[in-house]
Amino acid sequence: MEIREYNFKKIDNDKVISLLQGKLNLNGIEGNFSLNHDQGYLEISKAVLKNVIKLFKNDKDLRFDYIKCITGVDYKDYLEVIYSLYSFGNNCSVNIKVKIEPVNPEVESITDIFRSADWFEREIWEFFGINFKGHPNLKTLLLPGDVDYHPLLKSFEIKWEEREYKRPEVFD
Amino acid sequence: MADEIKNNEIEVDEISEISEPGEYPKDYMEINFGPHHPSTHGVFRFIAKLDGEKILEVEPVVGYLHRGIEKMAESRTYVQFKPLVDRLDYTGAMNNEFGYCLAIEKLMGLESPPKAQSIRVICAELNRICAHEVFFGAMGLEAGAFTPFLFGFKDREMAMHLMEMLAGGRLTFNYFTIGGVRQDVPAGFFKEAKDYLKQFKKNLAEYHELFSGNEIFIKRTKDIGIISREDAIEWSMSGPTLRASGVRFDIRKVEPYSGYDKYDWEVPAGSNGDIYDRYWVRMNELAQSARIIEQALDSLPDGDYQAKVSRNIKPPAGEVYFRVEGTKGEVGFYVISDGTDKPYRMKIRTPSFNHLNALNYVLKNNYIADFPLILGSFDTVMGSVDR
Repeated sequence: MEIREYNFKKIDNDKVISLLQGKLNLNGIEGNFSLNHDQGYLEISKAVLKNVIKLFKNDKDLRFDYIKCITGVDYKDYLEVIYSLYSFGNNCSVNIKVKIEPVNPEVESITDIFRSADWFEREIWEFFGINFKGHPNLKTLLLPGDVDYHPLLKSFEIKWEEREYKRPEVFD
Repeated sequence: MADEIKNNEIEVDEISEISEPGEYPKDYMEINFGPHHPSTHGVFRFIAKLDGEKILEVEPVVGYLHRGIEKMAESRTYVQFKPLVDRLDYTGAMNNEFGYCLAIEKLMGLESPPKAQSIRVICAELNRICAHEVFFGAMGLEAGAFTPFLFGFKDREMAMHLMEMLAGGRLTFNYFTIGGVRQDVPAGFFKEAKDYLKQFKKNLAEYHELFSGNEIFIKRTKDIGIISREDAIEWSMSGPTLRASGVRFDIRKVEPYSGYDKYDWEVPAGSNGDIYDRYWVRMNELAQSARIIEQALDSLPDGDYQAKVSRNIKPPAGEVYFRVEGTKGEVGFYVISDGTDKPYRMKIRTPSFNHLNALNYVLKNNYIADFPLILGSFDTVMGSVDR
């Protein structure tokens, strides 16, 4: 195995977005691009999520081969999962956003495309209650096994309890 | 007599019979280890399926240090949350603060003054030296050598003394503020830092002499726990682990922050992806960190050490993912702000989380005796896995 030197040139966000837009148009997929603090965001519907990620990973010009992060967010009237991908070859990143309905939230798992998505998805499943269809091993990761709540939902409130100090019983 | 022995003989074929390729042999053992750490960095439990001494499957069980830091972020202001960031990866606390402060600064469109940037770089690299020296010590312990532990921790103590001069703390500093650092460099810091670096270079040569060329250590680490380049990328590995697998990638070089592009330094990378390469990369990073600190000390600019920021920070609504090169790999903060003084959502991406995710894949078909060395070569800190 030899050391691979990547050519880490800085790429304009506009260039990346126009390239991605062209690829999506070619495959007949709809998506909205936006820029926020120099970072590109792509909003797609959850039905095409798997196709888009497969396309971004396997396409020769794009080669998004690295998952930086998968995040879940609760916006009260809908949930969102954000996939942050990075390409070593092109030195560019993109954040893919998927909206999910709050009742019986469900989205397709991408563990068969990226193996590293395994724990990310398990974490989101236990903290937000989003079911990842096709995930091979969906069980609790960080929380105890018997919890029936999803702590990172906005409906879950931290309760502050006043605790009183009780003197231990003294043996006579 | 001969007949008796024949009757007592175990029929070897029956026991080691493997029913189908890909399936486990009939007499495999399932053993629970923990919750403890085979080396030294936190509370970790795993369930191993063994065939004799060979590992068939490992299931890591994490969450014993889960403190709900991401939920706590939503009920605290940006300033109040900052001390908690130190508690994620407690051997590399400065680098966590670095990522957090830069993420919020990016959200606010703020840039810290040049002096603060240089002080931050000095702190981050001193902390990297500390963390890698813990790694060096722990690696020695896991390979069965006690002396490297003493050497590494003695030297780490001196680096921590320098950071104590700056921040007042030894492990969890709370030194960076949003827009700069908390206090100026004290008098006498330059001389002590220069003396330390001089001593450190001598020590580093001593480490290599003592341990890096040790025949037993090389035999226990070469060609064991190999991760190929493709798999390292696929499993989202980062930092020294990724570099050891033949990817010359460092966020400090690729997406330079806080003036890292001003300094002259190199990114070490391995070519084999085994335990020894991960060790070798980290030991070479120690020398590079010293190089960066030296240049930062020489070129420390005058001026303010803090930007003018109001006491209660309210970043404009928006979202940002910012990543820095932590001591173990990519430390990222995904911050979503809704315009109030509390973050709407704060996702913390830590490198150890992904390294443990890949543990089963790396350990398969290795021997149980190599387990502590392989896990130790990732340099996992459970505080940053469980959050």
